[in-house]
Amino acid sequence: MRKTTLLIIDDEKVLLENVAELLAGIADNIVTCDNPFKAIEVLKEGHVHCVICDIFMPGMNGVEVIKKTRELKNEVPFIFYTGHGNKDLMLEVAKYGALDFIDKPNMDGLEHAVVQGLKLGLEQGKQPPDVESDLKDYRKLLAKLGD
Amino acid sequence: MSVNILNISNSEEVKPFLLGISSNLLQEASKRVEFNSFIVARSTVLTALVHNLSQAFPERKSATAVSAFYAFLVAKNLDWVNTQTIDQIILAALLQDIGLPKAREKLPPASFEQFVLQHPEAFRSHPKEGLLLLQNIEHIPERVRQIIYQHHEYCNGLGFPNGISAMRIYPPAKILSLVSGFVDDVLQNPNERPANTLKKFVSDREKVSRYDADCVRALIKLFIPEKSR
Repeated sequence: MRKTTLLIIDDEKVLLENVAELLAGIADNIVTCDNPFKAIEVLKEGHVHCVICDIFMPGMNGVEVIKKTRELKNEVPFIFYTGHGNKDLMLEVAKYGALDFIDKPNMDGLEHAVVQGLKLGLEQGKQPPDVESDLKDYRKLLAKLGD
Repeated sequence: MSVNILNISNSEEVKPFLLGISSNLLQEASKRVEFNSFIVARSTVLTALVHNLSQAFPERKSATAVSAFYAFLVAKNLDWVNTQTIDQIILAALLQDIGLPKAREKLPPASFEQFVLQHPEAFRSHPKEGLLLLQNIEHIPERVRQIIYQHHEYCNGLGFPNGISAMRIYPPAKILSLVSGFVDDVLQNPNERPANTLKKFVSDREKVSRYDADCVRALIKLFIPEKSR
């Protein structure tokens, strides 16, 4: 089975360490970055299966991080920490795709989101079933409905 | 009389639109919808937003109520959705259209159908208006705001407001997108059993290509008798 790598990006070092500790048993490798520019370099290497990213960071915010990642043709799942008052960023981030949104400071649902993110990240690059096979599948199921 | 969204779980009016679904599941759905309706009722701001919607578009009350039930039922059939997410999808279903009155604000009064047909641009702004209205309500999680913001995005990339495709749509929003589309068809055919509406819905290739395949399968399975699954 392939090993999973989780990248955590946050300018608050204490939070970064705490989250890494919390998720230690979930991902095989955890890479932490307190500098979003360095995080982009890690993402360029392309071996990351899921990213947790703060939305507000000095120098480069979370939306810019995901935008640059997508420009690299990298669709790795992103989980964002969010706070209040990020209206414009939250409208913008939806354009680039986010697997989940975790509200600060309680981080409710973070572990479940990371498990899902890593699973999806491992499946990246796999061809999804085409429309025809989906339709065939639906017809089979509909046949069980009876009249 | 339309369904009262804050008291929907007791309403007989949603039942015809849920025919064919097991009574145990409906009881479970009813409890969760009631719980989330209570969250809405407890907040003065949310109650006012729902009230504005029912004043501006009384016909959307039924759609909201029925969607909340289907949101629970479909989400429960998907293995990646946990209890917390199910509640957030139900809450988003209850609040999905609160942006409609704001989207129509500067336009002459019109029914929902007229509004959609005559002012498509304004109609397409309602998910964004919904997100903005909820922006400063602290106890609403960002997840709920994003489900509302993305509940008209389609997997084929032809939805709105951003026209993003499958891979980039927030997964719980895919559930509400399907539920919302299906419930509109169910309500437009009140004399048809929901299972028959579903057969037509799924046979419409263009329509079904808008939605996530796992969500569509979860919806179909609701109507399959347990012994045939």
